Amino acid sequence: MKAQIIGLGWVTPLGRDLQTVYQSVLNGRKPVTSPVPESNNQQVYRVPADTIADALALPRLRRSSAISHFAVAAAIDAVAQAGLTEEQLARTTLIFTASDGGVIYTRRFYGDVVEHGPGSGSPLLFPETVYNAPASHVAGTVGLSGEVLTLVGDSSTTLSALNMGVEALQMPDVDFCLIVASQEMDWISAEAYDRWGLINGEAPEAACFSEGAAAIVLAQEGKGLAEIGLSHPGLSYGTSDEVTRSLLAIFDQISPPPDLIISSTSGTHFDQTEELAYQEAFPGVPAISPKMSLGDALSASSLQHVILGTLFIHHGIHRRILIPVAGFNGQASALLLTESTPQTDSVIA
Amino acid sequence: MSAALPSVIIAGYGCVSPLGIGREETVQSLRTSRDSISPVRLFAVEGCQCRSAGQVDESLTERASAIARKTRRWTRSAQMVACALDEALRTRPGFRPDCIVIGTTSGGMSRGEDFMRAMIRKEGEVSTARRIRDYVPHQPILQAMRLFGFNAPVRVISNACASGSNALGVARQLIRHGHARRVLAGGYDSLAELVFAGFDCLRAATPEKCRPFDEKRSGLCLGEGAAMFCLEAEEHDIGIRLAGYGSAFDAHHLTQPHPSGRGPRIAMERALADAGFEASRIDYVNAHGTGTPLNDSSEGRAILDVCPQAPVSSTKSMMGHSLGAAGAIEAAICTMALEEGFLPANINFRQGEADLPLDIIANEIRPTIPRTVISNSFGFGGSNASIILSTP
Repeated sequence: MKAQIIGLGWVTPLGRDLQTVYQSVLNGRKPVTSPVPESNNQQVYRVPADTIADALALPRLRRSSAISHFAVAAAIDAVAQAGLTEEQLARTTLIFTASDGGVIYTRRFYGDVVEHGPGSGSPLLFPETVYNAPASHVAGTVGLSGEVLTLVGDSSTTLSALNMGVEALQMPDVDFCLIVASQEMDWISAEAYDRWGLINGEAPEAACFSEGAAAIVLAQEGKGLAEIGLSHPGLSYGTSDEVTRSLLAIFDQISPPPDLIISSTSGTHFDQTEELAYQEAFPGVPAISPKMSLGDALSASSLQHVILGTLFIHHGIHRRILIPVAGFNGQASALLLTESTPQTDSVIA
Repeated sequence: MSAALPSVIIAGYGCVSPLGIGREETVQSLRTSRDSISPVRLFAVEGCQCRSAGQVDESLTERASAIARKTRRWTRSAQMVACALDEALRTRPGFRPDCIVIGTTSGGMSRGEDFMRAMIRKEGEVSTARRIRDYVPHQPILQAMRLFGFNAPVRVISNACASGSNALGVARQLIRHGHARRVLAGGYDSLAELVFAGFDCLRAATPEKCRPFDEKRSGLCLGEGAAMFCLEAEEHDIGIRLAGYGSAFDAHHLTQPHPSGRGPRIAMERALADAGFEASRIDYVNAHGTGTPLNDSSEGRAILDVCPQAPVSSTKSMMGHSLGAAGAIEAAICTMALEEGFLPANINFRQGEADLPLDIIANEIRPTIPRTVISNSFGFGGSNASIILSTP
C-alpha cells in the first residue's frame, strides 16, 4: 500500500514557513532556548506566539490550549497546500496524535482540585483537557465531517497514524487523510520527562524539550511531493533489546536501502537501541537527527521528520528516506519515503 | 464488492464493570437489573455535587493478582484490562492478535494525579519515573499484552466517550479490508479524581439517581471498567458478528451535541449502511443514554429518526458511564443479550418525555431473542460512533 503526500504544514520553534524552517534545519540553525514558566529554569524551545497569530484569532479557539492552536495552524497550512475543496474535505479522514495531550489545562484544572478541593475545578478548563479536543478544533476549523480519530501514545504513534491513514484511503468513502500531531509545553511535563530520562537537560549534546505541531495530507492517487513507500504499523517491545530487534524486523522489508536516515535520536540513553538497528541494517547510510535543531516534541517531532524527508525528496536531494522511531514507551516503527510514482491521473490542482 | 469481504466474528470476550468481574457475574446483574451505583470510595468527593459512581468490586486487585502477582502494583485500569483480557483469552484459547486496538480516555490517570499532586505540593521527590510512566494512557494495555506475551502493534484511540466503539469499529475495518485476520479490541478506563471533578464542575453529574431518557433526568453517574474482544475474520456465517460500524463528527460544540441529533443519526445510518441492514432489522438499541438532558434528547431524536420501532435502554443507568470503556463494555452487554435472549433494562425510569416516544425497556429486562442490536457511543469533541452486532 502506498500513498501520496500532497500537503504539508508545521509549527516549530524555528517558525512555520515550510521553506524557511527547511533551510534553517539544513543550515544547522537552532532556536533560542527559554525557560519553562514556573519551572526550575529548565531550558526548552518555544514556538514564538506570532507564528500562530491566525489560529489565535479564531473564535473557536478562544478558550483552547496551545496544543490546539499549534494543531489547527499546521492543519490549515497542509490543507491549503493540498488545495482540498469542500467536497474533497467531506471525503477526508482526520487522525490526530498526541503523546500527553492538553497538559497545561490538565495541570491547572487538577491544581485547583488539589489546592481548593474537588468541587473547585473550572468548567472552562476541563473540556480542553480531553485528548481529542485538538482534533475537534482541527475538524471544526477546516470543515471535516467524516471519521475523526485521536491516537495517543509515544512518538511512534505518529507512524501508526500514518499507517492507519494509508489504510483509510482504501475505504470506499475516503479519498484523503489529514494526519496531525501536536505537543504543548508545561513545567509539569518538562519535569516529568526530565525525571524519566526522555529529555536530558543536563547534557549539552542532547535535544531540548520542545513544542509545536505538524500536519500532512495523504491522497491515494495523483502525483505528490513524495510517496509513502512503506508504512509499518509498528511493533511493541518490553525491553531495549527488543526495540533493536523490532526495528531490524521492519528494516528487513526495505530494499534497496535508503539513501538517508532521519533518526528519532535525541541525545538520551534511548538512542542506542535505534542506532544499533540502522547501523546494522544499513551500514554507511548517513543519518541525521533533526531533534537537535527542532527539539523533541514527541509525536509532533515524528511528523516533522516526515515533512523534512518529504522536502528533501521534493527538492531532489534524496530519493529514499528511512524514518525510524523508537518510541519511549512500548512501540517502535519506521516509514520509508520515496519519490512520487503516480499510478493514475493527478488529483492535485 | 461487500460479498467478498470477510465477516468479523466475536470469537471470545471478557468484561469487567461495576456489574461484575467476568461474564457470569455481569449476566446475573443484568438479569436482576441491579443498580451498582454506590458512594465513591476511591477518593474524596467533598464539595462535589455528585458523590456516587459505579465502581468495580473491591476484589479487583485480588482477582488480577490471581492471574499474575505483579499486577498488585499496577493501576486499577491495568488490573481491569488484565482481568478482561484473561477472560477473553480463556474463551478463545490460542488467540494471538495481529493488531490491538483499544479505546481509553484517561488510562492510568490515577498515577498522573499522584505525580501532579506531589509536584503541585512541592513534594516532588516522592515521584519516581515509574509513576510517570504508568500515567501514560497506553500503559495499561502495554502491561497486559506483555503479561500475555503479545507484541502486536497497538493503536490506542482516545475519542472521549466514543473511544470504545471507535476501537471496535476500527478493528472491524482492519479485518474487513484484509489488514489483519485477528484483532484484539476493547476499551478501559478507571474512576479518577480529576475526571470526576471535571464532570461535576460541568454539572453533568447528578446528585440523584441516573435516569436516562426520564423526563426528570438530571445527569450522569460515572463508572469504570474494561472489556476486551477477540475478533476474527470468518468466511462462514457463524457466531455473533460485529456487523457494522459508523462514525460521524459533529462540530457543534466541544461538550454539547447538536440538539437535532444529527451526529448520532449519521453515525447510526452509516453503521446500518456498513452492515448492509435495513433499520427495521434492529431489535434493540443500547443507547449512549448518559442521563444528561442534552444527550438523551439529541440521541432520542436520532433513534426516532432511524429506528423508531426498536426497544431502547441505557445500561449506564445500572453501572454508570465508564467513558472510554463504555462502548466496549456495552458491546459486551449486547453480546450477552444476544447469547442469553433478553434485553437489558433502563433502571430508575419513571416517565419519558412526551415528544420522545421511545420504547424504553423500563426497569426490568425484557425476555426476547434479539438478532440484531445497535450500540451507540458519543463523546466530547463531537465524536459519534455506532456499532451493530448480529447473530446469523
